[in-house]
This record gives sequence, C-alpha cells and structure tokens, in this order.
Amino acid sequence: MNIRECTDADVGALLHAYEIGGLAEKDVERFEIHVLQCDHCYEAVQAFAPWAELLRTDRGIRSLVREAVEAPESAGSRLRRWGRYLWPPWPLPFRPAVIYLVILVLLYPTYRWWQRSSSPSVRDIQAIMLVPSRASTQEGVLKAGRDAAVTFVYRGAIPGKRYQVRLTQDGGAVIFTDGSYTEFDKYETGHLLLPADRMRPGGYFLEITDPEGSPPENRQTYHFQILP
Amino acid sequence: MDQLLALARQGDKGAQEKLFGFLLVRFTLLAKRRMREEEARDAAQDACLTVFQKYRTEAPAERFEAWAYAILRRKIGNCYQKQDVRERVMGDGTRIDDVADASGGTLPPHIRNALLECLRKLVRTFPRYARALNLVYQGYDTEEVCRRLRIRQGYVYVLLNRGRDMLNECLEKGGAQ
Repeated sequence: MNIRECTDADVGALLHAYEIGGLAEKDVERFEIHVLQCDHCYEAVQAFAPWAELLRTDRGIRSLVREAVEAPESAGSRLRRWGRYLWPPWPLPFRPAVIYLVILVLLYPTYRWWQRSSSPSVRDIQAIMLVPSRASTQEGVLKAGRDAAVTFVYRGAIPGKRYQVRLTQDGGAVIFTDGSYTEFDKYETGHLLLPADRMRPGGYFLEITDPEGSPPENRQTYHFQILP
Repeated sequence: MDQLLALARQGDKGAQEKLFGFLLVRFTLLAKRRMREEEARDAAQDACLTVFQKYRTEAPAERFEAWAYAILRRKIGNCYQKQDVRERVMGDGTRIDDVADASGGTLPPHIRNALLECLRKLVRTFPRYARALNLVYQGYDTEEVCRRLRIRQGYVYVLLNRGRDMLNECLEKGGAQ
C-alpha cells in the first residue's frame, strides 16, 4: 500500500465500512468522490478489493461470522479470553498480569500497616490473686515474659489510707516500693501491675505495711515465683 | 488531479491522457463494486468518454470529481436499465445475492480459503469486529450498528478499520498461521 497520507481523514475513515457495504447511500457517495481524488484511499480499496468482494458477497463467510457471534461462549474460550486479556502480546511491563502483580506487591505492605494500626493493641497479661492464708506466706506462680496484674488483700485495709507496699527479690533487691499506697478498695483489695521487662525469673516478696499499726500485726507478706 | 485537469484544459495532450487514464482506473474500480467486470469496464469507459466530451465546457472549476462521479453513476444506472435488472438498487441497497452470483466464481479458491482462515482467527481475537460485521450483514448501516453496539459513531469506523488492518496483516502473511 502506498504510504501517502489520506487527503481527508474524516472521509478516509469510512474505508472499511464502505468495503463491507455498511454505509448509508450518502456516505457511499461521499467516499467514492473522495476515492476519485485520494491516491491513498484508491490504492487501499484497490489492494483489498478481492477480499472486500468476498466479505460483501460470500455466503460461507457470512455464516462463519454469524456462527461466531451467535455461538455461546464456552468455559474454555472464556479462559482463553481471560488469558489473552491478562497476557496480551505487548511489552512485558504493560501486560495487565504484570501490572496487577506490581499493584499487589505494593499494596501488601500498606495493607499490613493498616491492619496493624487499625487493630487495638491488646497486651497479653497474666493475673494472680494473693489472699491471706494460714501459711506464713502466700505462694503464687507467674511466668516470665508477660505483664502481670497482682491483686492482693490486706485485712482491715481502709480505702484512701496510706500504706507501704514493697516488692523485693529473694536476694533482697528492691524492685518496687511505694510509701504512700492509697489504692485499696472497700473489699480490702489492692492492685499492682508488674511490667514484663522488669520481672526476671525467681522468687519475690510482696510486703504491705500499715505505718500506723504496731508490728508484727501491721505487716502482711506474700511470696510468689516467676518461672522462666 | 486538479493539476492534471488545469493542464488538460490548457490543451496539454499528455496531461489529458494522464487525467483520463487516472479517471478510468478509478471509475472501473467503483463500477466493479456494483456490476460484473466487463460491464464495469464498459460503464467506466462510457463515463470517461462523456467526461472527455464535456469537461472543457460543462465541468465546474471546483469539485470536478463530484461532477465526474455523477456522470459515472448515471452511466451505471443506464447500464442497469439496459440489462433490464430494474430490481437492483444502487449503492448500499445493492442486492447481495445478485452480486454474489455475478462475481462469486471469478476468484480463485485459495483467496477465499485464506480469507476464511484469517477471519476465523480474527473473530476469536477481535469479537467486536465480528459483531459489527454481522450487523452489517443483517442490513444495518453504521448508525444502527453504533446504536446496537452502544458505541460512538466515530468509533465504529475505527473498530472496522482496525479489524481490516488485522485481516490484511494476516492475509499478507498468507493466511492464519
């Protein structure tokens, strides 16, 4: 085909519609007048004339097209169509399958970040209840590596009154001390939260003292273990 | 063509010869779309003769091709009348069966087979082209095709030309691989 340009692209666009006989009469006339003076379109029509004639007139070709259009799409052809859509013969970076993969790869970290930031940060916590018993000390067991909520009872504790609370390791090292603990409730119960990072495995003493009482009745001691 | 026409009008024999050679091949191509090859040649030559007789005196200075085309259409109409095939209509309404009967046997079978193969491939890879073509086969013009395919008027031409290019490419390779 000649590489010369069409002299009127608007009319030149009617080319194949003309060849297959799909134009209204006024457009046929417009295109044929155009062909008289446009070398590009004349050569295009001339070169394609045998095929155009068959496309217009051949009954076998009509049947083929009609059957192709009317045939229900099989699962296999649907898959093939998807395959062609996802993997067309384009340069690799422009193939939809590659583009979707890149989008997924980019979205995954965003999704993880969103998931992490939107979910409430619940910390795993263990609890222990220390109540007075006939034994000299109360034994309890915790596991290392998790925060612990320690609930303890001091008989005769008055809400709002100041008490001394001391947590020491078996070796005598003081882990926590509060000389004005006022958190006892009306059930004579107090609470402490022991953060995991400060609690090493070993034995611990929790000692509650009423500074206004007389020893030894003013002191309650509990003992508990933190296992590795 | 305008240049050739201007020179021919000034009496340039060479330009006149070229102009009518140019017109004759185009007239023949257009006429062949409506009639048998021999009839088309006759009609084209007849139209060229009339143009030759009148172009100095009657042809408008501008739109010469529209004037020449009107002569060709008249000659084709006369040809139909002579052959007493009045049921045939011009242009888009041309009866397909008549044309098929007229031209179907003239093409070698390998051309048809190649086209069938390429078309089979094309309707699979470009089903919209097949749908548009099928609507044309059912007698709809492009406006109606657009309406039925729910696409813009301009796009149906793009779609058809794209299908044509793919078909042409396949045919140039000698049929579907």
